[in-house]
Amino acid sequence: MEGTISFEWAAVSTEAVLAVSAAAILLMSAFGFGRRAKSLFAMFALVAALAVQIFVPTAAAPSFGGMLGGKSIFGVFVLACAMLTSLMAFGYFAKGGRRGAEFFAVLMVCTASLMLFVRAENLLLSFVALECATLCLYVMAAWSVSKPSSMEGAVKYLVISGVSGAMFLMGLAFVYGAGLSCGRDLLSFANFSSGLVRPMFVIGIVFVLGASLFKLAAFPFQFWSPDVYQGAPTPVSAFFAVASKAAGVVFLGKVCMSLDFASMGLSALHDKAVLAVSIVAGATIIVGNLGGITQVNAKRLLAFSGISNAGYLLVLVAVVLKFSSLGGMFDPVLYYYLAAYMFANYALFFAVNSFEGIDDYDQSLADYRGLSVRSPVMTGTLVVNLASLAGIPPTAGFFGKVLILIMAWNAQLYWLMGIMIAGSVASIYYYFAWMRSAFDSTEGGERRLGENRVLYPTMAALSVATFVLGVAVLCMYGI
Amino acid sequence: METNEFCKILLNAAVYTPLAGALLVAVFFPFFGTKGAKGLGVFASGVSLAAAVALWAVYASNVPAAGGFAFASSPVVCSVEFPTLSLNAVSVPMFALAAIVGFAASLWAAKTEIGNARLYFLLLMFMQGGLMGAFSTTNIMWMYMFHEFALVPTFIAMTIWGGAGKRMAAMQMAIYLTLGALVSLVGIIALYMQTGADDFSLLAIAVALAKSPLSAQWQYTVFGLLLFGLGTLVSLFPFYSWAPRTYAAAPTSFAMLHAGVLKKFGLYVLIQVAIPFLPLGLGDWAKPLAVLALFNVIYIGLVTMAQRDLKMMVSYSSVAHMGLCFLGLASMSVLGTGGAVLLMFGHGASVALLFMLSNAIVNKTGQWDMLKMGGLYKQTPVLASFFLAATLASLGLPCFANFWGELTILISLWNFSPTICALGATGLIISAIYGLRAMANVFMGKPSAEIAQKFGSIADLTLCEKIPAIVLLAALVFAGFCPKSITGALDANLSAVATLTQSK
Repeated sequence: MEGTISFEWAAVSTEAVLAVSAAAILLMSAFGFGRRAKSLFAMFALVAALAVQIFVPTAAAPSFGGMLGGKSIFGVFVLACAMLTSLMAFGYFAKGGRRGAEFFAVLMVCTASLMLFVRAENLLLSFVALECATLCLYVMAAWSVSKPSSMEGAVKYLVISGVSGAMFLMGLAFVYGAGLSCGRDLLSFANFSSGLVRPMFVIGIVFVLGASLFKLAAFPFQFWSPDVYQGAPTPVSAFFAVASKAAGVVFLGKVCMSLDFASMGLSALHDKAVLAVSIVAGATIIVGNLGGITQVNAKRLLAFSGISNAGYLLVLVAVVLKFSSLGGMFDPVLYYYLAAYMFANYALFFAVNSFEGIDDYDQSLADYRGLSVRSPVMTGTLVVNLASLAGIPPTAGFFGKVLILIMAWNAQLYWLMGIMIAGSVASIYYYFAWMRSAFDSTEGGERRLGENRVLYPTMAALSVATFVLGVAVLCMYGI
Repeated sequence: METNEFCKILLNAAVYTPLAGALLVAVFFPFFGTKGAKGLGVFASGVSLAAAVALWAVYASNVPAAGGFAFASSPVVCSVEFPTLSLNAVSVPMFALAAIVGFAASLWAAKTEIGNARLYFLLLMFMQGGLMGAFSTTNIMWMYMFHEFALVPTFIAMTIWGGAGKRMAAMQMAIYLTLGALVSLVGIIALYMQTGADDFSLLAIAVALAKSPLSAQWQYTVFGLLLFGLGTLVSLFPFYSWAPRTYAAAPTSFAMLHAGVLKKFGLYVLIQVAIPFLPLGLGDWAKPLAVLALFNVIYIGLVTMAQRDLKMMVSYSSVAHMGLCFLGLASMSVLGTGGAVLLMFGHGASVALLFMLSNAIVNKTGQWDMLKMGGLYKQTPVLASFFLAATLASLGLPCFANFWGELTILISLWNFSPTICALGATGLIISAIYGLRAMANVFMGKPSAEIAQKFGSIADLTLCEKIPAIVLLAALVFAGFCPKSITGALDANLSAVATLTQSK
């Protein structure tokens, strides 16, 4: 029924802090505050937002007339990503990247949008939040405007996200047209199960899910990510690789879990849906890993690694789609995997960012030769975090993979496990090739390391986190 | 009672001293000099060795019922649960082997000129700590993880200090070992999920199995996963091609640990986990396994005969000998499995010794081709005697540990299938041919033209280089004269498994 929307502002306190701070940063420029002051304020605001996210209690979910779900751990996750991106941005500014505290304002708006995107309980809000986040990501990707590579990546991202936005909107229109309910509830996730009997709804939801595969950089919409990661400034690439991808998979999982096939007695459609998601997951793993093998460019390699990781996460989505009884394990496993992925990826992007050259566009693995002599900290970072991405124990990445494998075994998706294993074995080739070049003292390695080593402690801390997270799971599950 | 408490401390010390040493070097990397790192490395492996030998002695003198687990301890420090460590009749010899070879490898490395010695010892200690842990934990997931500790250090060591063809070999090793490890990981997950055990510990799985045994179909599947996953780690035919290249290209200490100890891990898990828990699976897979193992023994044996490169010859021979161990498992008998454990111990020590000596020979002569050596006996009598002893040990001469292993395996095979027994026995003849021919080519006759010039300057082993060789040889001879020290407890342990199997 058309009810009045109640405004529970406490429910969006974190997002409000971010938005207000972003506006404040823009205003500070108008009043002539220095760059340093604005940057400091930005960091402070991010910390404040994290504190609000963790400590301020929320009103009962859902709020805003059922549009918005409760706070999730994703908020903490994406705020951590934003902080790490800001830290990395200082390194990027220090080595000559285009300066400007507005970067932080855009980043904050993007963070808030991603949080809303994940919390949305209604497709319309999802769409608006997603488009807002995409717009910010586009601006950030184009941050170094003078660089053709950055512009190329940004334009590619703009076009692709335009297509994906259009797809989303069309799917939304179909879902609306299916007429699940009336008024605002037409697009509410809660009604999705009842729509499964209507072909129009099914077509619509396929479009919506397809559009979110763009965000994830999953097959068959993965082709933009290497170009964009390569062209964008490194801190932005990291945000693309971790935060944006994570938002996509959380959204996908949420929509999939809201589809209750069993209650509608649609087992044939259910099997088809599981098969479709499994095939997408398997193809993403294969494409990501095969693409990674031929890469010698550090940022493109990370992009392909990101594609294959999207595939592993999609396996998890396929599992909960198949057995909604396993849904309770979805969040713990997903966020464990994402945390492991975040630590490893950010550490590696920090390493990429430590070299000279503003956008690290053409940084190749050969540039890492002889690194073990030049910088033991960076070498250690590479070893630990590449091992984590490759899934070598006792790093966190290994446990993430084991948890997904266990879930897949539970869901009897044996062939998908086989593809995961094959993909992991193939990924050894490019992860270890990167590791090898750090210990290789033959030739190459001309690219100089940046003088600014302030960020080394962050890198070391991320590496330690990759290790400690691995130990943490041992304690938690008592393996 | 007090001895038991002390033994628990020893067990933990043996595992965690090398790991702590590695951590120490990693954290204080800039402050470590070459000497400090070398000293720490030798000290850590020395602690492991002393503890392992003491534990072996205690275990052998006071065998628990049915050769079961002793010294069980699961320390909790600051609410962090460390893995449960414990030793049984199967793990005691492997644990001791890891300590012995680890000590010899550290000593050898300490007496060699290495660039960046602190990194070398950091990696070596990390690897050895992992190995000690892999053979002493009772948790299957931890076994797996401790084993994987070795992967990255070996890869890095090969990249930095490796010999010819190191890039290819290192990558091939990493990929094959990961493939094998991940397939066996699926097997481990399958075992855990299908039994519905509380956790990954051997005890929990045994309890769950006692409640509801696995169906024959599942036993077949899970055993197959474990067999081929672990088989790849042990270079079972046809997944062996990584092994010879890796051992030939790896720096000496890592080759010793890898070929001598790490490779036995796959067999160890099969004996410790797969056979007792999945007896029907072994029954189904025994025939195919025996055929594959015969390929290892005969085909790889013939390949070994064709090698001219000394290190490649030793590498291939280690692949060939693994076939005999697999035949022991395939015989489905207490005798054969026990023989496999004995052979694993003997082969581990002898192949480590061979790698150490052949690396020394290659370094001293500057030649890798055996036909381009010759007459070295004159210059290096001590080296030659050690090499002869190691060769004789590896081809199964009585009074070395390998003899008892090969003998019992062949006896047990007779009951399994006389044909396979006869075919397996040809492996001994083949190994005698390549072993003795290598001896003749390298040490006997006249020096070849290639090494004639520097022949006079080739020096024998120094006293410090002799010590690791003596340690390894002593282990071989001790187990050769006193196999009861290993088999005494083993018989009881494996028979208990057998009766368990029959009662099902």
